[in-house]
Amino acid sequence: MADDKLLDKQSEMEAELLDHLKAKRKAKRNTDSGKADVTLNSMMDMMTIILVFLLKSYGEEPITILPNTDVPISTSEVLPSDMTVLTVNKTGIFLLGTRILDLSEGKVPANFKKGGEQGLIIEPLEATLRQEVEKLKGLAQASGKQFDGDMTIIADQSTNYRLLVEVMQTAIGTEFKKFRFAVIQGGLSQSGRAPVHQ
Amino acid sequence: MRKVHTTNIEEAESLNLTPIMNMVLVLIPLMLLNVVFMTISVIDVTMPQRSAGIAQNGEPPKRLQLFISKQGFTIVKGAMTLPAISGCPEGGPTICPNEPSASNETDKQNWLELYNTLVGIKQEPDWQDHETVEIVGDSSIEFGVLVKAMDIARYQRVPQSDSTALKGKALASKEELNESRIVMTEVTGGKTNLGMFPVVVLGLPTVAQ
Repeated sequence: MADDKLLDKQSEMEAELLDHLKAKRKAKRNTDSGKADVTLNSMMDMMTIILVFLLKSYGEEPITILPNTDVPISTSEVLPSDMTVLTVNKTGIFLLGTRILDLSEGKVPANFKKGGEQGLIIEPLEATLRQEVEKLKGLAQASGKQFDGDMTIIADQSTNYRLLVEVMQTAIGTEFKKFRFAVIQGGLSQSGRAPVHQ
Repeated sequence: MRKVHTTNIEEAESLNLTPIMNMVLVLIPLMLLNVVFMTISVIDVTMPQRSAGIAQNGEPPKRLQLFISKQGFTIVKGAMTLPAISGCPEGGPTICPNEPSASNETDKQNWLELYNTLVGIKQEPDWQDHETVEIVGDSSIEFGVLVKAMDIARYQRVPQSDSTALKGKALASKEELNESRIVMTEVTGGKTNLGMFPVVVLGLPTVAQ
């Protein structure tokens, strides 16, 4: 009899404990599911797609426009290819992003030119281009091709004609033959002007 | 066994993505700032060596030259300098600027007259096979003006509404020029823009007046 009572009490206690545990588990599960309600998967998918797209467009530009260079708009549709890129902006002349010389008021200082003020050959640029040509010729020879002497000039919209000619004449003296001006594609109504910055 | 499987799924679901999210959120604005949403294209030009340009067989080469200065455009067709058009000072450039008060150097010039004069030359029987234009700028001419001059001189245009034209036409107004489309021509393997004087040769600068 006493044993029966003891057993009943024990099973009662066990049931109570079980209920308590269940309730606790339930409570825990509720809180867990509450946290997991924020599903980040779709956002992650979106972010991954944007990231891949951006990385792609970041890497495929064959030429990079340096800051402070307002390239004019043109109706030309010929796409650029990888080649020697020379930038001329308000502050200086750059070969593949490396500054070669500074300009003063949009002009090459006379002491940097062969023949002074009226000279057409820019000496520091000539020296750098000669080294570049040697390097390119070596590369072309190693890959069994011929050095084609292509050059892309990225110039600021306000660059004066004289400076452009000086740069091109210097390049011609160092075996560059074909020139291309980089421009931004646009309509004829905007042609010749730099795109408006916001 | 079943229990183990369920636990694995639960663990996989609760992957902590916060660090990746943080990284991605930093990377995206950074790349957006760097990306240029403008298409870059190129214009082919040539510049002769300083010794070049001498006639080889005694006969002067047929040249079409366009001199650009702040006073306007001077067009030299063969050995003849075209006289100033009506409304421009006599003895001056062929085409004088029509908006001298414009803030932008490019907007000052009379591009419509330049286009109409060039397309007129292109339609002359002697000049219809000629493809080269020599552009010579004044020392102080801006690169933007040169680019627009090349845009004008390189292709034949017609009004937007004209979809059947096979050749470029003279245009009536600045708006019509701005809205015009380039004439397309059939070539093997598709269509291409019909050139007016598509080969641009740059000459040494003239001295500023």
